[in-house]
Amino acid sequence: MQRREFVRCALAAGACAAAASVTRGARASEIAGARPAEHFERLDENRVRCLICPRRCEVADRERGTCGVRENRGGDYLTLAWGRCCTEHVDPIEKKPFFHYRPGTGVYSFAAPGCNIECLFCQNWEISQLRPEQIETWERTPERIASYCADNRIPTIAATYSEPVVFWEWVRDVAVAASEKGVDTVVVTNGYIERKPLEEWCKVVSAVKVDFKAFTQRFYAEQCSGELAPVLDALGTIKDSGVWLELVMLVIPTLNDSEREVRAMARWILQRLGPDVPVHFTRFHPMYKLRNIEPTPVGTLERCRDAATAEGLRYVYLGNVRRHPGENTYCPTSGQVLIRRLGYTIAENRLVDGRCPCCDREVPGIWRRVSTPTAGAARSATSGTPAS
Amino acid sequence: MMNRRRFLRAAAAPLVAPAMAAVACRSAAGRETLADGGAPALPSGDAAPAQAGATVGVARDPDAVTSPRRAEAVPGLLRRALGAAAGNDARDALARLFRPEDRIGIKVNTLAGPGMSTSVDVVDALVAALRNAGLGSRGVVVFDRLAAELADAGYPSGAEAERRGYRVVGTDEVGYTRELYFSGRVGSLLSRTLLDVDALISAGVVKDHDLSGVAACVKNLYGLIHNPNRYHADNCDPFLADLLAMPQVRGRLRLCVADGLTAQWHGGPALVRAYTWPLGAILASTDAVAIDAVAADMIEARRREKGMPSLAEARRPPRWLGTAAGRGLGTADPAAIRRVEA
Repeated sequence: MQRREFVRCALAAGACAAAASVTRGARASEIAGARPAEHFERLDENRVRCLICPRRCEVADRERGTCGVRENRGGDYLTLAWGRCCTEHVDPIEKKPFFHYRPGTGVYSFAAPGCNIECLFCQNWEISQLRPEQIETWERTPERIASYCADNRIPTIAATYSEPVVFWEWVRDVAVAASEKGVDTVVVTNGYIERKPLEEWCKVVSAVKVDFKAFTQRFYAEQCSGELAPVLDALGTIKDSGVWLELVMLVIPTLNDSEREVRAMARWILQRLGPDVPVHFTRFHPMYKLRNIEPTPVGTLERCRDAATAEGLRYVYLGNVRRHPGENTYCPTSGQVLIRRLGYTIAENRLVDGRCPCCDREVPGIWRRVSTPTAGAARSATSGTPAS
Repeated sequence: MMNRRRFLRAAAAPLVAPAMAAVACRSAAGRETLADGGAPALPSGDAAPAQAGATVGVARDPDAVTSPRRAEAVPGLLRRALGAAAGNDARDALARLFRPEDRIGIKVNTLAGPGMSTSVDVVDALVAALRNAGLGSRGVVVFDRLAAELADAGYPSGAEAERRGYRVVGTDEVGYTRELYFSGRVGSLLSRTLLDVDALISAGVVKDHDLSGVAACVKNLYGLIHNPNRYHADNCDPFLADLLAMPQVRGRLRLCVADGLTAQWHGGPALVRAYTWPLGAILASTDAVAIDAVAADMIEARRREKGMPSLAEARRPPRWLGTAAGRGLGTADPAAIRRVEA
């Protein structure tokens, strides 16, 4: 985010921004910290196999999985990330980015340290690549987060910034507590998660944004120490669950920006997820361990958008590009601008009950509040009908 | 969150890191090694020449394993190991390795808690030997990742530690660098304590490790970086060699001491008492690869005695030893290692 956008974002958040200074509770060192982890199996000699993500780490006693936040202690598997908040802020929902989910609203965003992959270009590596004891954290119980949002009329909570998969239990518990308060929860993830924990998430969250790193296994292996196939499986699982889904692809020159790859990805999305899943092509900036590549030219992003659109995707956006028409939502039928965006600000929203005012075409998304307390009731939103 | 200031700081890191590395290498210049006296200090990076004929001193005393003779026996055992490694007495050996003005860091391994951590007795003896050689006047710091684990392993703090001639610091108390340091496939933040010292002693434990096969003095170095969990794949190969080659590490590492009073041949890195044995040994060398190769050999021998599969058969071959040797970071070939029993 550039300075100007940062300032604009802060202004856009308005009253919500003040809420960012949620009274900080106890420091991490004062928190008991460890809690029983879920989704693992015990092996011989006090070893465990983690089943939260496709890495399936075999973890010896006193060791941690690749994520650095789930530890084996004497054959018991613990999460060290539950309730250990390392960053929190009230952002515009467009920052996640969700473009078809309650535009113009604020979202309380939180994270614990850790990630199960290592993207060499990670923008938030200072929290995603560190362990809980290596950075300042403070306690945030699900009840406290939910109450804070309810009291301050913040409609949505987002598990984001680092990788929510590694603090899966906390996200689940926050979503349940939030639902009881009439607040919805969304997740911003890399999608590198096993099917069972993902399905459990999908029962309690309203929307998921997946950072789709590339459409080649080579990219996932060399740039992210991950795998493509499990992410594709996860995307299908989310789609099948009915939870609202948006995709982001950070376009990195020479690494994942070929038209051939983008078209192949678009065809896969079209076939498996359908034409209505919003896809955001965002601009890369040198970061973390990938500093030898220049920022993505805007023209490259435009070519990606054109290619994906040509393959049949209906809602393709550009990101990290200021004041570009590719930020707007257009009606696939009338071609009219439905939502005009300036960065994270909604300059104009012409949707009427989720429909184009010109041709009455239904635009898929969650345009108003999701029904609560049972977030699962909102599943019909994927077909374009606001749930309430 | 990455704000503008952090972005600028991060962007400057690649410029700063090489400069810091150069400083680190210069700080080590002029020191000798035990193995090849007269040669330049341990050089940095992959260009380091192989140390042919590395020496590992092994001193044994079964009485040193258990109380009440332990505290009394350990200093002598350590002196014998250092002397065996150097071919002369311990005091001379240390004086050739360190400068009087060096700030010395001793990286211990306390992950496994009491019973399978670098023992306080060994560290006390090591610090006393340094002091006896007129070294460490600018400070000796004993450190590991977490203050809580150091305390759990029995390390004193505050005045009691000072009385023994050192400070005890957990990296969680002082933090890591803000800049990343790179070596091969390793890219990590470093313990600030590492960069605060001029000379490093890796004081690990002779034990099995479920990923690297052996965890003595090189695996111990994973405690210097913030993200060891990123480098566990493929039996830590080539990551251990990468870290050992990092200029900030290699330029400081002067001595390796492996605590083998009680060793563990299976079930590591955690303590599993059923797999420990009273080896009663302290190992010393300036060659981090050679000392770990000897430790691996001891573990393999014990596993054979117990009818256990070899480390390779147990899916944790210490391949990284060969990788490190191939890069000239030390000697892994048992035939080329002079094991001097004392």
